[in-house]
Amino acid sequence: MTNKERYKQAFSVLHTSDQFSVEVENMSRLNKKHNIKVAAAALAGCILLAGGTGTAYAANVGGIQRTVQVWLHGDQTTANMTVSDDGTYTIEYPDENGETREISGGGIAYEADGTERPLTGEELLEEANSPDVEL
Amino acid sequence: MERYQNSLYAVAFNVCKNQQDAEDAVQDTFLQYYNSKKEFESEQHIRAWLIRVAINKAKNMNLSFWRKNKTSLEDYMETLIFETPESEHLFETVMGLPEKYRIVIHLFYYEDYSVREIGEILKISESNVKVRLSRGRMLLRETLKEEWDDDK
Repeated sequence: MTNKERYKQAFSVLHTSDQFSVEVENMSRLNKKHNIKVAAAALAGCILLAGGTGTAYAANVGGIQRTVQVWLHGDQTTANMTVSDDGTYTIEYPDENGETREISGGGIAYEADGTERPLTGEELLEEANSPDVEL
Repeated sequence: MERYQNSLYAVAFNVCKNQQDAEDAVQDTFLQYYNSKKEFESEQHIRAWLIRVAINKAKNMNLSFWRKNKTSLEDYMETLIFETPESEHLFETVMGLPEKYRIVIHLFYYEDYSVREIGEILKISESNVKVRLSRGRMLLRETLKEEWDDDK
């Protein structure tokens, strides 16, 4: 037996505990959620920049374009939200003068393997309506 | 992740000599990997990066004031089932080496890294690796005698 074989045999006894995998998966899941929240903070920032305090909710979730209710300048306004494949969104709404205004933004999420992907429409809406942002 | 889990645990344990600290170091390593936007060139690149990060995390654990260290090495070794008494003796002897020799010995004999690769992982020169490897081998040979070949 070579020294390498001896060494490998001796150290092959080292294994992580049974709970280890679950803990790492749980932590990565929590971490992923945290990153979505951070992306949502940017999204919320865009809405605030465009029209003060805003709350959006979808009336037609499932398609690429959704009708959403947006609170702008204290008024509830019906708007069209378009979500692109790259995770960006555009919300078109009529202002107090009836002119069409547009606000846009986007966000990304990190998958468990570290790759980035764009947020889905549901995630964008969920995070836009989330009452608290965990940073 | 499972592919590297026990390998990283072994290298972290080599530094910490403590199960809980080593597992924490490996968990932190995986989290850093998940958060990292680093672009890896190959599987070997990922492996080397993970090992380097795990070693650094384990070293940080050693420096931490809050180091758990709840289970002594002796108590932990009693839970391990070694194939032979010689294996247990070798394990115990390696754990008794100074850390700087232990890590180099482990990367060479367990991970099959070359002197050059060990230098790159630990960010030290090849000659430094050679010195540590030589002294580590000498100490192993002194204790293990015929249980360890002279493989200079």
